[in-house]
Amino acid sequence: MTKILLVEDNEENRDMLSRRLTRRGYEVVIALDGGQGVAMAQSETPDLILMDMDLPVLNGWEATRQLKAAPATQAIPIIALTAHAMVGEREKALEAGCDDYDTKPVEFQRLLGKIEAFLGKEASS
Amino acid sequence: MKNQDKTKEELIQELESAHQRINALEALEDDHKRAEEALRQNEERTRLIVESALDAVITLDAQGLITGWNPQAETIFGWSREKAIGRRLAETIIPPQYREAHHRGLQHFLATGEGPVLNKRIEITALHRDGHEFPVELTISPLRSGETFTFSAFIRDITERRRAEEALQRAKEEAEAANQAKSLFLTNMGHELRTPLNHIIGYSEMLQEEAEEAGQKEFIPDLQKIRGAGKDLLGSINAILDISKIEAGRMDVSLEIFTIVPLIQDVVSTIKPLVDKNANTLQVHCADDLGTMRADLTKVRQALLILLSNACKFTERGTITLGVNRELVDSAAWIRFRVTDTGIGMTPEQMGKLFQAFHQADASATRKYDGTGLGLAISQKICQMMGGEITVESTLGQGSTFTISLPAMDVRG
Repeated sequence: MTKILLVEDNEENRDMLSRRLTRRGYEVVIALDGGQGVAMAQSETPDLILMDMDLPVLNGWEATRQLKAAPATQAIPIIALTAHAMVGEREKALEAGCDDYDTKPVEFQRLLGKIEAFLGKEASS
Repeated sequence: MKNQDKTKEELIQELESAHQRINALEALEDDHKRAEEALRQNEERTRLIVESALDAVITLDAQGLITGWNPQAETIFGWSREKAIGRRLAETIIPPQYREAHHRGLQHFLATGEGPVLNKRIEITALHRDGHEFPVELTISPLRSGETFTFSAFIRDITERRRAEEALQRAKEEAEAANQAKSLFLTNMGHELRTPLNHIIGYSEMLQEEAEEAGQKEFIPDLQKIRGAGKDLLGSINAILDISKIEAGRMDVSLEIFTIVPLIQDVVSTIKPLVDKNANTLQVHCADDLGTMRADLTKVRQALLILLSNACKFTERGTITLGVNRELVDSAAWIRFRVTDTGIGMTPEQMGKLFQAFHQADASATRKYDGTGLGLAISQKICQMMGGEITVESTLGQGSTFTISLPAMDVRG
């Protein structure tokens, strides 16, 4: 089963995304902050990470930098979830090493398309 | 006797020449008197000018003692002419803490002929006879007379001007601070409003999916209404945040090259429900050579949707036309998006305020047609940020045409 690590501190966002992804047949594991996200990326070896950027303990950008610097986790695609209102968030996310980004509130079909694009690529390569 | 040797003619000649010399002397004396009179009049005129000047005019000798003090100087500094003449200037109008510097400046000038504060307008602090200090504008000019110098000073009390400048500066700072506070407030409020709203929208979507899966179709229209109302509210909140970002200069554009036709298809499918709502028909004409453009895709989409949703809102059982073409203007390629409707149209007066924030065509329209009145202001600003603009033509009762013109800026352009 394809495993997605969702790093998100907001309870409702976490609940909605994880339930909808689970309904579509993904296994979803959850981290509540950036530090936990980095640890779980190592222990759970997910196929893809959805990373909120505005996280406690360790923010999403720093967590991404650490994951992309470590040989064990650098190949896992990371989709950044950025706040819609913020200027320059997209550039900041890509600079930190995120493979793609989507804005919050998540438009689920669009996000699903991005997830499938990565996992499809993974499978065919 | 020698004189007796002179002839009568010679004596007459001498007498005449003496007479001529006397005449010449008298003429000289007249000239001198006229010159003196002219000088006196001139001095009188100068004195009157100095007396009536709105600036204090003070003259000094090389020792820094006051030799001239006009009525305005009496008014500004509180010293009468009788009291002031002969006093040391420094002790009269210069506050104690600056006297040493003044003295050094004077000595330096007398020794070297250099004076950095001479012959230019400077602003300094002056001392009134009653002890209070106030700002003045001052010009000091040295005048050489023989081996020594005198100085003339023109001084203007700028207390009022300074006060006005400070009030203006304070008002400006306060306005800027208030505007920043407003922007910050809106950003925070936006977050506070959007977060729960996004949960409402997200959970209604989820419930809709779950109702579909569970075969409980009767809930779906209601859930769609919740989601639709949530989306409308989100749109209004985003419009308010956009305009505040534009006003705060924090809106940015990120340019990318994209193909135009898919954008049009996406916009048309998004706007379809609104077209149907007022029983309108949508016609789309895309030129064959549209190709690509370099712009902020999200913002072009946003501007197009604003124009189309306005067209839908103000038209009933009519036709809305979206035409897109590529034009060359001075060998630069432009993309024009035209949105034409057969709706209520506008008067020239209504069109004048169209692109101002918080305005709908008129106040009564606000009652009949909902909306924040921000859409066109936002669209115009974002098109301008991409180097283009929106123009409008309209006839009351017949409809309107809004045209977005944007530079294509792609490889072909």
